[in-house]
Amino acid sequence: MQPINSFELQIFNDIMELRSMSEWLHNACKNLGVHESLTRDLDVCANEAVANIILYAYEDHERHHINMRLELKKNQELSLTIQDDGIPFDPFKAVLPESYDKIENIKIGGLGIQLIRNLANECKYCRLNGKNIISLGFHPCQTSASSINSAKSSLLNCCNY
Amino acid sequence: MEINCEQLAGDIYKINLKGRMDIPGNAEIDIKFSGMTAAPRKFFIVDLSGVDFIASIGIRTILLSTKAIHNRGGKIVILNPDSQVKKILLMTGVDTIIPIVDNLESALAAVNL
Repeated sequence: MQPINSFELQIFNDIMELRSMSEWLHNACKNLGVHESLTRDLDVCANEAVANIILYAYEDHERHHINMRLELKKNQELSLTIQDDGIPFDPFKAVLPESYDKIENIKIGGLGIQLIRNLANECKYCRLNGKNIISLGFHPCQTSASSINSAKSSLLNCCNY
Repeated sequence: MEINCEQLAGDIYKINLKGRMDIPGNAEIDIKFSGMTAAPRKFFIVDLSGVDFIASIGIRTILLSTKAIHNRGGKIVILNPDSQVKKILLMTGVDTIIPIVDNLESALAAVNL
């Protein structure tokens, strides 16, 4: 019998769904043998991506489905796919703000997408059949901690201090 | 989330946060956090040892108060974040604005400087 290598979840566009999503993600990661620190990176990315969808993707007040899939591929790469039927939006095309200067000029925004970009090893977006599809790839052997310093400068730019 | 505030010597306030600082969790504490860090108070130690998850919304709450605190000549320091939370704080450059320390002595020294 083949081991299960993927898990799926469907949630609604309600911010309170974030908690059940995180619970699902932690359980799925546990079943796939994903290390705790990578699980927590995934949790941050999923929270940021799905929160963006719930808060900004819909122009009506109707109920919408958001579909998620976590898959451990044969090359041991983890893939998290998030699909929604909101307005077309590529989060990875967002332009980084100009560099920051002083604390007096703090403007806070875009941090979530920057966190995803820096925690995930691959970020892809496509629009297919009226759906936004985000795919995030994670290489378990490569810790994102090592990329903190390189990530920091771009995130600070985005934070626009 | 849970939040409480204790006054230490020298008009320094220690704010203790506990729980998941995601959108639902942050919504439970952000108004209280803003209130606890409001004028005329100036010196703050934010103890994150009980926070096991932080998303950008939580960073936003801390940074917005920090801006107001700095504008009135105050100081704020983050105490003892869990390793994953610290990673996110470093990744977002929070440590360049707010000192992050791992013990109360260092925290007191940082706000007393």
